[in-house]
Formats: sequence, C-alpha cells, structure tokens
Amino acid sequence: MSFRFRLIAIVVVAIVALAGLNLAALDQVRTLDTENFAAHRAEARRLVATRLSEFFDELDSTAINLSKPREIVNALAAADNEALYDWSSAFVGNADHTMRVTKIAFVDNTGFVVARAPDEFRFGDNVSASLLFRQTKHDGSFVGIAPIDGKPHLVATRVLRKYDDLPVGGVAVSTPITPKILSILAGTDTVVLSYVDSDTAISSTGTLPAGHAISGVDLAVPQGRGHFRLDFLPDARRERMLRLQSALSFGAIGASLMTLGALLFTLRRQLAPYQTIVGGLLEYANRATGLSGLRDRLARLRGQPGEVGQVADALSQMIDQVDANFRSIARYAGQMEEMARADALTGLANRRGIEEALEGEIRRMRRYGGHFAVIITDIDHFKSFNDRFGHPTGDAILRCFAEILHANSRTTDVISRWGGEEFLLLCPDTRLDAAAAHAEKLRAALQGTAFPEGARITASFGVAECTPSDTLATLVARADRALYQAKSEGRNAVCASASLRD
Amino acid sequence: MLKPFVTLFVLVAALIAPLSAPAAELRFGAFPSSDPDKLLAVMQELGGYLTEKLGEPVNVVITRDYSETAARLGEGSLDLAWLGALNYVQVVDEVPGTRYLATYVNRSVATGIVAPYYHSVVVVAANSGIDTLADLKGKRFAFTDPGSTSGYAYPSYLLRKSGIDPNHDLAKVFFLKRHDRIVEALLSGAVDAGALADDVYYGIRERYGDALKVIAQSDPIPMVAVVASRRLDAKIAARVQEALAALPPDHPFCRKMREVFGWDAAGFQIHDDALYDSVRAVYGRR
Repeated sequence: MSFRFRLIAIVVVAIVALAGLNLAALDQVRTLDTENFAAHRAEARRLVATRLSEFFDELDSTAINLSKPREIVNALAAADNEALYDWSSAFVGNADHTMRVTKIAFVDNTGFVVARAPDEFRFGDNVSASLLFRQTKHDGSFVGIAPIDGKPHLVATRVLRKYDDLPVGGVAVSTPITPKILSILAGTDTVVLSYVDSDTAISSTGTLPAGHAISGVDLAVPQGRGHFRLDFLPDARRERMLRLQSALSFGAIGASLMTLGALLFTLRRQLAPYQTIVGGLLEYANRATGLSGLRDRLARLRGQPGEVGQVADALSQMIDQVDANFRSIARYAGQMEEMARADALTGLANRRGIEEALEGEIRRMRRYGGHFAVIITDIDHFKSFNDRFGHPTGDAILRCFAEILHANSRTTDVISRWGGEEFLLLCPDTRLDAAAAHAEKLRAALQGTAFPEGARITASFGVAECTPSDTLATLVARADRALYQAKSEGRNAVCASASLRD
Repeated sequence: MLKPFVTLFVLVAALIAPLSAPAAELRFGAFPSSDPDKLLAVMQELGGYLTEKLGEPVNVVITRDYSETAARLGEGSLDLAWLGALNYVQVVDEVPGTRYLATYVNRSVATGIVAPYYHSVVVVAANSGIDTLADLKGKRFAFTDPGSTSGYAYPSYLLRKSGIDPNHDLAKVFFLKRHDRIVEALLSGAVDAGALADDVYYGIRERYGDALKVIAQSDPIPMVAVVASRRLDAKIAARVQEALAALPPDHPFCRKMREVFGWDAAGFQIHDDALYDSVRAVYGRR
C-alpha cells in the first residue's frame, strides 16, 4: 500500500513539476510579452507625440513662411485678396492625400478675413470675436487646437508686421481634425487616436474606443482646448500568438495529466493483485477474517499470469499447511483434554472428570428437572491385597474391578475412579431404589468374578439420589455416609442414603 | 558639306539685318495688364495694319510696365504707345512733348453706341437691400486694384462725391484684382458691393441673370489712347493718326480684341486731350 503510494507520489510529483515548469514558462512568455507590449505602447506613444509635434511644426513653419515675405505683408496691408489667395492656395494641400495644411486664412487687424484658401470667394467675414484671433493678436502667434468654422482644427497662426514692426493682421494655417488626419497621426491600426474636448470627440477609427481598448494615454495639446488620447487596441496577431502559446502549454499539461492517469491506471491494474494479497493478510492479522477467508481471497488470484500467480499459489499452499497444522494441534489438544479427565490406570473418568460430569448433571437437573443417583463403591480390604501381592497386582485388581463395573453398567452411566480403591458411578435418570438395585447387581457380579492371583474381592456400596437442594459436596457426602454405613454393617453390602437419617 | 556654311551665313545675316534695315522702322509699345502673349497677339494685328498703311515696318514691343513705357517714349526707343486713360494723363504730364493721336473706341454692350468711353458701375447683390450709395456705409466693398481706373479711381471718386469715404466709411475694402473675381465675391456674399466696368457687368448678365444690380454709374471713362513720342516725325505721326481713324470695324484687330479681351472693338476716333480731363479730375491732377 505505502509502496504504491510512494510510487504514485513520485509520478505525480514528477508530472506536477513538469506541468508547473510548463506553466512557469508560459507565465514568463506572458510577462515578456507584457513587457514588450508596454515598450511597444511607450514607443507608439512617442511616435504619435512626435508626429503630432511635427505636424504642429509644419503648420507653424508654413505660418512663418506666409508671415515673412514683404509682398504678403503688403498684400494684407492693402487688402489684396487676389495676391493673398494666390500665396495661400500654393501652400494648401489636399486633405485626402496629405496630412499637410488644408486651410489658410489671412485676417486683417480688425478681424476681417481678407483671403482664404481653398475657398477663394469665402472671405469678408469678421472673426474678431474668436479666441484664436484675440490670442494671436495678443501673443503674436498660436500653435495648438482652436475651433475654426465651428470645428476643432490643428492651427498655427502668426501676426504679419509691416516693416517687421507694425501689425497688419495675421495668417492662420490649419487642418481640421478628422478621422483621416487622426489615423495618419496614429500611424497604425492597433492604436486609436482620438481628439476630445467638451463638445467634440473625433477618433481615427470614426468611433471612440469604448471598452475594447486595452489601455490609453493622454497627449497634451500645445495650446487651446481639448486633448488627444491614444488608445491601444488588442493586436489580433499578438492575441493569436498568446492563444497559441496557451494552447500549447495547456496541451502539454493535459498530456501530462493524461499520462499520469494512464500510469495510475496501469499501476492500479498491476498492483491490484498485490493489494488483494496484502489486504487479505492485513485483514487476517487484524482478525477480520480467518484462514479460509484469506484462502478464498487468494483463490481469486490463482492462475494469474506471472509472479503474482506464483506468489498467490505459494501463499495458498502455505495457508493449507498452516490450516492442517492447526487441525492436528486441535486434535491433539482434545486428546490432552480427554487425558486430563481420565484415570490413567483404569481408563475410567478420573476425579476431575466425574466432578465436571456431576456438576453438569446437577445444573441440568436444576434447569430441566428429572433425577439421577450416584453410587460410591470401595473395595473391601484392598490395602491388605496390595500389601500381600504388591502394587502391580493391586493395579491389576483395580483394572479388573473397573472392567466389571463397566461391563455391568448402562452405557449412559458414567463410571469413574474417585480415588485409591474408591469408584463413583453417575447414573442418569435413575431413582434411588433403581440405583441401589444396580449397586446390588454390581456387588453380586463381583462375588462371582475370579480376580488375579485368585483373590476374592468384595466391595461396599453407598447410594444417594440427588435432591434439588444438593450441591456436589452434599450429594457425595450423603453417598459417602451410605458407604460408611455399608462398611460398618460388615462390608460387601449396599446401603442407600434414604435409609439413613440425615 | 555646305551645311555649316549655310548656317553661319544665316546667323551673320540675322545679326547684320537690323543694322542694315531702313531707319524708318517704327516701334509700337504696349504693356500688359494680364497675359503678355494675349496682348501681343492683338497688338500684332494693329502693327500689321499700320505697316501695311504706312509702308513702313511697325514692330510691336511689349514693355514691362508703365514706367518703362514712359521712359522709352521719352528717350525715343518707342515711337508709338498704347496707354490707358490714367497712364495717358500721367505720360502727358511726365514726358513733355508726347502727342495724342487717337482714342480706341468700343461698341457699348449695354447701349450699342460706339463711344470713346465707358463707365464703372457699383454693383450689389440684388437681394442685399442696398439701393443707394449711402447705404454702403459700414459695408464691405471690393475694388479691382488701386491702380485701376475703372476698378478703383472712378468708383472711388463716385463714392466720395456721394459722401462715402472709402477709407473710413466702409467696413472693409478688398482688392480682388479682376472684375470677374468681384462678380464671384459678390455672388458668394464675401463682399456687399463692388465696382465693375459696365462692359463686364453687362457681359455677365446673361450668365447670372438678375442676381446682381447696379446702384450707381460713374462719369464716362475715356478709353485707351494711342500716343506718339515727341521724337517721331510729325508727318509720320499724322499718317499714323489717319491710318488709325480709318481702321475698319471688321478689321482682324477688332475681331481679335473681341476674341481675346471680349471688347466689342469699333476702331479709333480722333478726339483731343480734353477728352481725358475727367481723368485728371478723378485723380486730382490739375
């Protein structure tokens, strides 16, 4: 069990370690990727900020170029719409093809637009109320975001000065903030560049990225209102790569787990017979089953191919052997038990044997009723026979005596050697008088029997019937008194206890 | 083998020819207000006509501007010149001895009358609610060019006479250089009023219908004058004057004028210097 446990633990640890390494590698790839992405974002932000500032620079330099030539200054001073239009239209690019200047306006000191490009005949309006005009007039220039024609524009303005001194008006160079411009500034479609102010939101993708952007940064506007926001969209290629990496890693982990499962399954199959054996042995050790249970278990493994089958066979044989041994031991123990209850000389029950039998009979009678009697007999003058013929003859006489008792008794009677030359018979289902008759029959049989060495043997008999109040001791004592009575009446006689006064 | 020699001969001949030509050759100067090539094309018709009539070659010279023209008349490197009314008045002042020969005449688009003058008109959008010059106070006004007679001097004089000082009473004065740009600016509402040559105005009426209306007309503006340098022989000058007056209205020159400038040219009339007195009044000369 613990071996299997250890084996599985090793495999599990190995595979978990592999899977862990795999996950760690994936994590590292992700970390690297996150770092790369952060760097990429920083770079994108820098690029967009650079493009934006270059764009403002371009607007500003165009504004400067249009504010310096004396010809232009004079044209503005003289409200020469045509000259100003010619100049400005030369600097205006096409909004659809370039991210350059798309609008130019010349404004005089009082705020009248003297010329515009590309709208040749849209002029003569007064913009003196606009913040852009006032700010330009105040500061001499403006670079940033300002509303033009009600829409936010990237703007650069300059004041034009006659003799490089007296302001005659200004030039505004601008491009409306459109999705097109923002997408050019964004440079790539993995970022969304948006312009946001209190009333407007314009985005390079047409719509503001709501929730699907990964993250965003704000870019400041040099002057004016609103701000730019750069949002980073999930990069489909990168997402695919990450997904692939995840799939590979989880695939590897899955394969590991499958391998683990297969391994465990195989181990389980291989180890199951051993587990059966070990389990059976343990149960046996815990006394949860016997040898036969153990053998039944092992029987299932009989004929298993290979080592397991052999082990099971060997164990079964061992168990058979042990079982056989146990049986012999049990038999031997029974014999020992019998021997303990029998008298060695006569083969009759010994004192212990008869006492047990008597106790049993007393209990039986108390429980179930009925009756029984006991007869105690003692060989008359046995001591003198012993002295005369020696012990071996004495023993022979005893054996012979026992034979006679046995031959003349019922099979249900229990005959025992009570001690020395005293014998006790237990006569079940026998009343006192029947027992006395039986004793008489025995006494008569003795008289007609020739004993070894021609000895003449008689015996005295005391009979008592068990009463419900009797114990072993009182019963035997009553029979003893009857025997004593018989002895005292001249021996070779039978005396029953009922004839005695207790 | 002869080719190089032929080339050399042609080159030498070309270099020598001007020197060896008769001194009677005349130079007729004109300077462009817009496209020099167009002017040259028209003027060459006139030069061809005069050459034919005088029996002397008359070469057209396109000068750069007024000052160059005036200077060359003075030094005699130009014998004849084609000058607008203001330039005529200037040159008479600045180059003493310059002689008036004739005035170009036009058939008016509006009236059909052949006259040595035309008018400048003050035009507003028909629905502008502006009916008189007095209504122009605080409005935006478009002239062509400060140097233009019909596009600035006469209408400006007209405004002043009506109590409107263009420099103070108007909200803003724009200079749009060309009459057609003034029409566009009026139609797009960039300006409230503008000054146009009447020919231009009547010329565009077909195209724009009644979108614009005239609220005032200037004094007559004398047309282009042809002058002679004081160094030109008087007899030749007289012959030139005679030839100009005789130019038939169906001459290619007149056709070319119509084609290129849209002027319904009717030839030349001989008036005198007094025709240009209104110009002197407008420009405050004398």
